[in-house]
Amino acid sequence: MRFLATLLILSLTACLEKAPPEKPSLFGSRAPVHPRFKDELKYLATTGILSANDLQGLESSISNSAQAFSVPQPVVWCLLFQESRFDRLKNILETQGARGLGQFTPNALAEINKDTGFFHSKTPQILASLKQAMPITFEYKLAKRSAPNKAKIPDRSYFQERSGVNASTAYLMNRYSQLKRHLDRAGVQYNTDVLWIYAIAAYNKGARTIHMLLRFQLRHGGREWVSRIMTDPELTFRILQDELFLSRSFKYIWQGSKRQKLYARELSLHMKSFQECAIREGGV
Amino acid sequence: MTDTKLIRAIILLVVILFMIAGWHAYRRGLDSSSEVAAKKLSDTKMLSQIEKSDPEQDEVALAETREEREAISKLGELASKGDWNRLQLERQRLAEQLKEAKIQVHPDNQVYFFHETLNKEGLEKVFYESDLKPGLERLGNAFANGEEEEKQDAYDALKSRVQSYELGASGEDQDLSESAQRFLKIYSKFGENGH
Repeated sequence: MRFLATLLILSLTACLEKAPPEKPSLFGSRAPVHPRFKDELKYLATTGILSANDLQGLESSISNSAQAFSVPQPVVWCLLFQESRFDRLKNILETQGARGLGQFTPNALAEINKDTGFFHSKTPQILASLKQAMPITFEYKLAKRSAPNKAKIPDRSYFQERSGVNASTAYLMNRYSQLKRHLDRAGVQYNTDVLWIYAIAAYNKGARTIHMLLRFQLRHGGREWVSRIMTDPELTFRILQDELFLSRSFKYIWQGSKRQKLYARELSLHMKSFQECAIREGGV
Repeated sequence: MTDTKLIRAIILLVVILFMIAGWHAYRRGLDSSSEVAAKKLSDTKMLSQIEKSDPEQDEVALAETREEREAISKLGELASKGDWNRLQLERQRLAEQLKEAKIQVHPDNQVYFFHETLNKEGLEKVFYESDLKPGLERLGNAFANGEEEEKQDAYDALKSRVQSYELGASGEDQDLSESAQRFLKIYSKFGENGH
């Protein structure tokens, strides 16, 4: 009896001292989280812009690429949906500007083809494991007077669904790795899930905008405050969705020009949409 | 003490222990929720304090000084002559000169031309050290060894690093900062075939 009582006391003590459970991932198990995105997909299907077959193929490419690069699936899904509404042929006939699924310019493609291993040493291997033909190009063939959706698109073309997804995921992974390396070397603490949010912002506007944003916060709030921002998703979204904050930070980049406010607005909307699409309920 | 009495005592003890455990869990919940509330309040205070801060107090130079402009134009002239070593020595000398004169160098010029003037703990310094510096070293080596193809590849990689840093996936070259454009123009002289 005495033994039984001791056992009970010990197990209760253990219960009291038990460590808190591990925090679940910030992202939903599968994107999109908010139903409005599903409604939009239905709309795209009814208008013939994105058939059920196209969507299925695309989602399979996204899952494969996300898994190979170890990126949370909702991060890739929501980024690509936000960039082009999954229109892999968007602006295919343009010779300048952003095109296709991940809204790449020739500059972004140049990084994937010529410098991708610099940011994340395993990227070339991962692309090879996905059987990605390299270099990825903007190549397509269009017969006279035919619509862009009738274009013949080679496997290595960025306008090919799988190549577009792989190139965009690799570019995103590069931004994540670049920011990670910069923060590590600067001794700034961060949470890996939160870092994906900043990688999305850097994909959209370059790592320099994140540097300027953090520089501004560091100047006014100190190093501990910056670490606090980089570890707190709620605070991160508050800042990345606040046009005034963004505009103040972008002053050093696009001082006084229209772009300062325009880009602050763009990024703020982008981040609102990303939060709704990718973050699990109760995550923030 | 009979067995029944002993069992009753144990049951009572267990009930008391569960009550203690429950009280602790309740307190812990209260503590963590009040901690979260306090953190939120302090975050909001900090954000509003930063929002109210005077933009003019931000110490970053928003305009390029005459000294910087002249220094960069001198570097451009040296690059046209195709002398890598002289260019690097002169760049270093000019950086020291700007530092000694306590001239507040524009942040973009600090990154691309005068990294010595950057805050040692800043992220821009890290960008220079980890991304630009290795790119410049690769270009310098290719130029010194006269490897035509490698020169072009090294320059392309350097250009791509500047573009992705400033533009992201969708930005256009016209959005590059003036400093980045001048930097690329200067170093293209060493990346072009046949120089």
